[in-house]
Amino acid sequence: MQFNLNGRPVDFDGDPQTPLLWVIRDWAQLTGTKYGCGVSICGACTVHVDGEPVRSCVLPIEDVADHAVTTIEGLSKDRSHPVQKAWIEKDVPQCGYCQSGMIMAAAALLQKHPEPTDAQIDEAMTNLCRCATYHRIREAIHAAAGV
Amino acid sequence: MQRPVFDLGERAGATSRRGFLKGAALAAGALIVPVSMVRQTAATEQPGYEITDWIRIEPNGRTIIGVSQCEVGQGIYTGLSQLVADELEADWASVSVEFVTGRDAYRTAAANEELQQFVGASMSVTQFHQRLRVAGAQAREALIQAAAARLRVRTTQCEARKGRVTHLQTGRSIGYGDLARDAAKLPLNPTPQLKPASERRLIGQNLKRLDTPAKVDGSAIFGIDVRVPAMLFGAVRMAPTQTGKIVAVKNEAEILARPGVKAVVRAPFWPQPAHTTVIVVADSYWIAKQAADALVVEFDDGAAAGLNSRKIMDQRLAALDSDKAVVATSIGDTASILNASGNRVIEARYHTPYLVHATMEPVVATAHVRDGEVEVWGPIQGQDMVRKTLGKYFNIAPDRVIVHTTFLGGSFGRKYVPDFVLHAAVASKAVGRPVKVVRSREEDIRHGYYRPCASARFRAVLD
Repeated sequence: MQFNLNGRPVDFDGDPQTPLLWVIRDWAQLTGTKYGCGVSICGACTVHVDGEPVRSCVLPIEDVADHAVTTIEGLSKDRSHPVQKAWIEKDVPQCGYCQSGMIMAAAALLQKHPEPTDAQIDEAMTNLCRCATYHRIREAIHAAAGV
Repeated sequence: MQRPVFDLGERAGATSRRGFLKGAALAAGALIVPVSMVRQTAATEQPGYEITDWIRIEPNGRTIIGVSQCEVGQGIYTGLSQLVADELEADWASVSVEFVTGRDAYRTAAANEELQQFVGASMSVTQFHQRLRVAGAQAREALIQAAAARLRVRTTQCEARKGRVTHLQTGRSIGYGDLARDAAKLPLNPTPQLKPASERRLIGQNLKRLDTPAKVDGSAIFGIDVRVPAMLFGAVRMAPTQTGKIVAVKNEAEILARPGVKAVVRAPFWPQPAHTTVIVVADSYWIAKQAADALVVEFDDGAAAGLNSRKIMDQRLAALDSDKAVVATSIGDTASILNASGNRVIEARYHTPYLVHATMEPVVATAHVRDGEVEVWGPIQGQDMVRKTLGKYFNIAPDRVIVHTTFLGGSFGRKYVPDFVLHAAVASKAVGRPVKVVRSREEDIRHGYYRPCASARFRAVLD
């Protein structure tokens, strides 16, 4: 089963029902994408499939065949994506566990709305952060929009 | 990017403070890190010289500050490093941080318990402030002494600043990297001169967090990200109650026959000795998780059978109105005022429930049980608690338990409790290989060590 992972073609030969999350983490060994709930609630597993944000913990790998997956490791090679730069500038993370998913969700939001309003941010950013960094996330998204 | 997992004292336990830390690089090298980090890790495996329990300096000037307190999001990774680096007069840009463990220097008093390495009650800065400033000052003095000897001048004519020692009259200077080897051989001054507040350069500054870069590119290693050679994966199925135990795994043969499943292991849920937990060990977490979900297990719920939130609340409400309630404060002649006729008594009751910590990263650990030795990796809040627990369980000395601390995806106290580390160790012992056991979210919530509940009653008379 072939798909594109961070710009490289890959061929996964395991159970086609395996969620994309575990293919990314355990098979491709890209551990930036996190397991949080396994039921599409928390958003820690957010990646892009063809540029759209998806919760990889409930997406069977067979549904990704011939599509392009981007993880936090593929967002940029050197933390140079505007969202990553804004995240560093605002020192957004605390424990950091949710932040890969947050960054992927924010990057997708900015693709759709280059200058999002607070309401658009609230609507798009449904990921959970147990440290409650939400206020800095909002600031950083506005900052990234200004880059 | 810092290599976030490091173990200064463990494997090199016999290495002296003055030693050349080969062991440190070996211990860190045992951890396989994601591809994005491999290059940096290789590049950092250079010799370094240990100046104090907290400071190691490499010949290239890179200054590695050991942090004994786990980073759960509170910023201690940066905060404690500032304390050391300020007194050390380190070049902040050359500082990297590593988690350290296994020495008395990292232990502090826990209420009525023996000294131990742990994080609790938001006390890390309070407890380590003085200790770390002294360590930084000791190292600074040793580096100045080494420089003065090299330059054949007096120490009082030298000044340390930004990772260099300068002879003020001549302007000659030597970087810490060139001095580390000599400084590591010098005895430490037990009472070094701490800097006056006016000369603080890092303490009090709102610096950028050192762990942010690794947390925006996915390279920070949390407990769930650990991968060691030959590792298998475990998923758990636990008795619904803490007092429960396994009566029978009814479809064990069927589970074992699944492709990729290696073992079905029974384990206790710390601190109970009874086997309450079934761990399925497999080639991948997804295989293990599906198999654990498919287990048909008969549990005996034990003494806590039928206990629920409603019953607990009823007990608390009854206790509030009984003589079991503790009087927290009583202002005025309360008995007569409250009982006087005609007074308007206002009463309010407040309750906080038992609450699961719900860390974003569920509890997870990787363990490798070998002959007379256990090695563990994980989001650990109480390193010595883990040593004590595993030492007792496997009948080995606590210092034969090698502990590697990763970043913690939240803890709030939860990851002080070593139940999840014991699960990984019991699984590893059963299969003879390293095993990473990931608690599913469902089991994590069901089996939290809940925050204590409380009920309070307030009564007042207003006139």
